[in-house]
Amino acid sequence: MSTQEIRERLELLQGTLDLLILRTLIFGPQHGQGIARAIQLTSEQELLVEHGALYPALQRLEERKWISAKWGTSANNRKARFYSLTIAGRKQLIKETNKWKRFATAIGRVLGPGTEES
Amino acid sequence: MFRRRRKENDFNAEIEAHIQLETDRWRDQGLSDEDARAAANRAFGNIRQAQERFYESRRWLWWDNFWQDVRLGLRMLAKRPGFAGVAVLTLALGIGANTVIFSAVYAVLLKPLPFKDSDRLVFIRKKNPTRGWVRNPISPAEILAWRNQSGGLEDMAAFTSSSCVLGGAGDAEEDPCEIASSNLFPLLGATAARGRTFSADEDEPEGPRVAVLSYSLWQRRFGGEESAIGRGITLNGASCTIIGVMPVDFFTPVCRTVR
Repeated sequence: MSTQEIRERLELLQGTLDLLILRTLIFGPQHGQGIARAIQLTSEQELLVEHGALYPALQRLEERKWISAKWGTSANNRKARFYSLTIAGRKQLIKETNKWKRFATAIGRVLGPGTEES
Repeated sequence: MFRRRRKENDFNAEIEAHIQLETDRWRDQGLSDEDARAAANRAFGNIRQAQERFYESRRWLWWDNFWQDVRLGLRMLAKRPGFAGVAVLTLALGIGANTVIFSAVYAVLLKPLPFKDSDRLVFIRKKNPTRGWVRNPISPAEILAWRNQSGGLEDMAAFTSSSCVLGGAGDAEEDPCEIASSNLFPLLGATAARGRTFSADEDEPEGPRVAVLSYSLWQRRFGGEESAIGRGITLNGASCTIIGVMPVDFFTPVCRTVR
């Protein structure tokens, strides 16, 4: 990734970070840095996630028992705290995903075609 | 019920691990150690802020969880009054038993003796190791010798507890009694409530035979009459003159009542 920004990255909307974290964890346990990377990669660098902002969200999700955490070893043999999705977290992800899709569709309808940036 | 709370240093270790991993990644992409570390820090943002938010949220969570637990507890108790009753009863019995035990321990072990200079009182006993006795009789001669020859003690009084057949002035009865040297009372700082305690000449083998009553015996047997003093009684058949009555709260170190 070049340090030169081609376009301004999108700031995250309130509450979307939780959803993104849950979604990322569906592929298996991951540590904080991995989650941050994955969000950036899968959003094709569109989303700006300050890594530090991830941790309050992770903590919140952990307290709600949607994710659980365990210290483990990373691929390059470093100690890291790995988060994984719980059953409750999986349910929450489905619920939130549906909600978000309805929300996006509704906003899209209001804004209508033609206003999209090419 | 008991949730293990995350420690701050665990959180700090996680952040450190994050920075490490991110640094590794940048280094793999060809950055120097220093640049990689700087890039990792930049991507993370404000570390101190993250720590503060962690600390803050934890504090709020503590209160949140605490109130949740309290409310849940009360609801559960209300839902099951039988269980609540047993719990309350258990607590009540536990607290009660503790109070009783503590009171007893206090009275027996901790409370200072109600005697003059109680911190300087010692109790001397004789053993007989060859026969395995923890108590061996002490002769009057021995007591006198100890009293005159031991430099460390201000005074030494002798007493022995037994039971006596009390006769004269009414029906005979068996009562606990103590035989004491005359200096026992001044040594303990006790004075008679009526009459007087023993005098030195009454210690002599051929001296007058006299008795001091406990307050309860005086009340019970003599109806608390002043005229009891000077009256004759018999102790194990030997006649004695009553010379005094001790105060209601007096007791000797071994026996709770002196008759």
